[in-house]
Amino acid sequence: MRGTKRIAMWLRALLSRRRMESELDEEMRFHVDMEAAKHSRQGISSDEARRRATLAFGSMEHHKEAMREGRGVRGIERAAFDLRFGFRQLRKTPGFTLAAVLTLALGIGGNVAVFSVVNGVLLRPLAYPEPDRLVTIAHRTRGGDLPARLPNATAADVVYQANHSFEAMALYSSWQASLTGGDAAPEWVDVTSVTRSLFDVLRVRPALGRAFTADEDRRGGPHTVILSHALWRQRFGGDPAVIGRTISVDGTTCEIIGVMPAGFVFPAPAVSVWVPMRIDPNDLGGFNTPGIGRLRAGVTPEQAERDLAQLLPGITKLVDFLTEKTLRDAGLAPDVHPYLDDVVGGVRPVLWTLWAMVGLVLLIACVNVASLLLVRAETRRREVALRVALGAERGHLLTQSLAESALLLIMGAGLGLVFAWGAVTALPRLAPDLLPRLADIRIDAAVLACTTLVAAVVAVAFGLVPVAQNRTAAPASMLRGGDRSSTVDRRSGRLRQTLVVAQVAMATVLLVGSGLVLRSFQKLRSVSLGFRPDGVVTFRIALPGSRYATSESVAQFHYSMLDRIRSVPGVEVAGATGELPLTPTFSQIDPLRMEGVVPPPNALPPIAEMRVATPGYFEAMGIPLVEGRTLERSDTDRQTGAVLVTQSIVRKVMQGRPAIGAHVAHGLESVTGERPWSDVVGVVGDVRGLSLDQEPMGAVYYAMVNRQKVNMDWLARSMVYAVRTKLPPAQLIASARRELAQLDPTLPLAETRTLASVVDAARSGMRFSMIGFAIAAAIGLFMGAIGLYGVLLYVTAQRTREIGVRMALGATPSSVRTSILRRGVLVSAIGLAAGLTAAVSLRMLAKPLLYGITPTDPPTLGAVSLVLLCAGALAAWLPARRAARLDPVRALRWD
Amino acid sequence: MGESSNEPLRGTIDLLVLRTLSLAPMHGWGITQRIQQVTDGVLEVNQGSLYPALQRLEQKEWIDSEWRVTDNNRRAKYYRLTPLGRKALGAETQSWRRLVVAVEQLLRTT
Repeated sequence: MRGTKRIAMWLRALLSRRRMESELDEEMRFHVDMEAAKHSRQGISSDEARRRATLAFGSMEHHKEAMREGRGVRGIERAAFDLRFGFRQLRKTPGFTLAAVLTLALGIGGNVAVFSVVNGVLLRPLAYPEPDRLVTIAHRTRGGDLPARLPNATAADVVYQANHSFEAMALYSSWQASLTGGDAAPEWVDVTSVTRSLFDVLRVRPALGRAFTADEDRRGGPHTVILSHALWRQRFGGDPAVIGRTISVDGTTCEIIGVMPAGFVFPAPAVSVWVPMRIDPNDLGGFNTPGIGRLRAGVTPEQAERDLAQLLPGITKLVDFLTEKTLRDAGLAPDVHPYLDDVVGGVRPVLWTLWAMVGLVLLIACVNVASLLLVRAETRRREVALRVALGAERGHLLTQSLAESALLLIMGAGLGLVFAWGAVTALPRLAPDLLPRLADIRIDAAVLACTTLVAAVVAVAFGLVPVAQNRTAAPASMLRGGDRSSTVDRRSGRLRQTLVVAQVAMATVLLVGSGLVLRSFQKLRSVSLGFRPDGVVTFRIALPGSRYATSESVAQFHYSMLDRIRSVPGVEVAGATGELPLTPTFSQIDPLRMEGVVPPPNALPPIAEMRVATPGYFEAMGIPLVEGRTLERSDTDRQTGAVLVTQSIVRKVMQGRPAIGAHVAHGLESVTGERPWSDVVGVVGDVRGLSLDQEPMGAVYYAMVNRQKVNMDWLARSMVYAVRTKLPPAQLIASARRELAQLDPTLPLAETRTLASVVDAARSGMRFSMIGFAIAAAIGLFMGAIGLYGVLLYVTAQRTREIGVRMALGATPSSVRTSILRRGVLVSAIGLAAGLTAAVSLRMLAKPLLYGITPTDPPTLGAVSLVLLCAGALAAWLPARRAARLDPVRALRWD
Repeated sequence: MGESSNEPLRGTIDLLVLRTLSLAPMHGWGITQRIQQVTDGVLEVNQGSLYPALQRLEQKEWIDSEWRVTDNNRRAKYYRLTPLGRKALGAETQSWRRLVVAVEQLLRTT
């Protein structure tokens, strides 16, 4: 028989099953009737005739079964029947069904949700051609004091040109600028300057127009710009004739030469303008430049590192403070790693750990459902024994209980998928800044495949329970009243207790993990920021170079604006700076020299942040003045070189000399040319400038106008205002907008936010892991407690007769209660011990997620133990109370 | 359900059914009666093997079936040989004859 014909037959058999059954029945009845009629004709009474005919025919059901088997779809029919039967069974016990389905849904849903995040953020390749060949080119030092990207601009562009490992290398640097021109209002945008090789590195071309030429990417070449697709649509209405028009970036008029394709992201989604970097080979300043490269096919990052390491000593010919010995002593070495790592950042360990935690939650869920099934199987033993006695095949009983498990699983997985979908779609709205690559997180084929896999694992994990149980059913003894026996089946009792201990242990691990992260977050919150974020509103004003050409005009503008802000009623104090602390967009870090202090030879010089500030800034931020005075308006001139240093500079650089009156200068003479000394007039407190978990590096604050050659224009041109006020933020912003419009109506007021929100954003990564872990741990603890509760309740029910006997013999209710409670607490304590052991042996995994505490933080472990034992006692309390209230007379009659 | 000694050899039931149906379309009970009658009661086809055989032959499309009304006004399922079944009957008959001859030869030589 050909395959299609066979399938047609199966389909017929399945679809017209009812008709076939009735025809089969009719055909067989006809047979028996005819046989009976034949006997009647031979003179036998009709009853006897029918009896004989029926007897001769044999078991009609047996024949029918044979015929059904013959249709070839028996397996499917039986499965369908089993599923229907299972569904009816489940409907009969809605409490059990709800508990099992919800447990599974939470376990599976959590896994699917976290996997879709892991998949989108960590696993999905970046949206460039052959993205796995893209690497970040940085440097590392042994001490880690030198910023890892220090010599890049020099090295990558000059020294590393002779490499054999890369197809192309590029440098890039991001900042923010005001955009004017076109028909729209001025706006504040993220700009990235790139070397023209970037387009070869990424292998992406503009969708419209062309990339930068060599002529455009050199100092003094024509100014050009490439726009993002979104900016082109929004500012130019998607007009293709935009190529050749001009737009002004920070006051420099640039010709628009290209538009990138829709969806192009580099290096961050917010960047909408790209300009050439225009490196001057004769002025290799600007140390802080990240590099990206495309490896040749087959070259590993390690090989590329070795290749670059051979070229690195060439840098000593370009930078004279670096000698080969300095490089060796500092352990300066190229660091080539996948670009994806940089995009993903610190989220990677968080996500893997979170996945491990929801994995544990799933295990707990499986154990929970398994013990629910065990209890259920236990209560059904009599029914099963009856059916076995009536001739039910053991195999069929097994497939029936498997069908029931499958139904639970399907419902649980379906509901879990709904949970996960809800979480994933809500994530961008609830937490827009929490994760990188948010747009790549979605439920797709890979996620569905993962769901299926997880469900399969779950099926194996708890589907085996009925198998284990089925083995023990001995019909005869069961029917004689096996479940009236006063002792619990030891083996299944022990199995259940082992499951509960495992659950408690896993819940302990979850609690320890989330407790540690919680404590870290607490520590991070209590870290001294160095400033007081409450009650400060901030915004940015950037001045185009075309209309504010001199440092004096820039300073003049900011002072006028500050005067206007200060005159707004409700404003206490206002000041401005180049960049707020904790905003990682840009920071200038350079070596710092001090007059009279000769750095030890062959050692890397100390480094410090270079910041600009106006009078009032420190007061507005709440940064304490330690010594001397803060900046004054009279410091803003070419003759006074007044600067402030932070306390850590005094410690690190000045080595105990008096700070006030000392002379310092940023940058190295060999690199920046001869820069005059500035006079230290005051010492202020350190702030966490780069990130919350890094010790302050130390900073020097300059006035907007400084001595000749100390050019702060590029920082002062775009200033962030910090305003300490009791006014609601929105009201202050509105006032600031009005004042700005009167002063210069063409300028945008950008980045309006509160200082508290800046600090919040800096904590968001830690908050994400804290929330995720806390949810996982709460679910884990809850499920563990429910599991313990269920088992104790069941054990109590099983031992009702025994308890009745004991009470009849004189046991008091309180002694009964204590015995059950003791058992609950004992099981919890064993689980707790196992869990703590596991948590301590897993401590290295938690390390990258923690701040300020050790992975065996005693308060955390203590609190976890307390919570767990309380939960265990609580879970035992209800069954214990129930047992204590038993009426011995009724208990003895208990069936 | 005692096994009757009159039970035909396994595998021959298809041949018996095909041969019986080659004379006239007939229902299941009729087939058993017919076989019993023609073989003078030597062969009795058990219902437990007849109906599965009919199902099998129908699946092979050697026979087909329809519901008809019998002489005494009852609905019954009648089976009928298809052209494919007639061809198969020829082949089955020949192979049966070959088997009989072979077995006979074997019996004679011992």
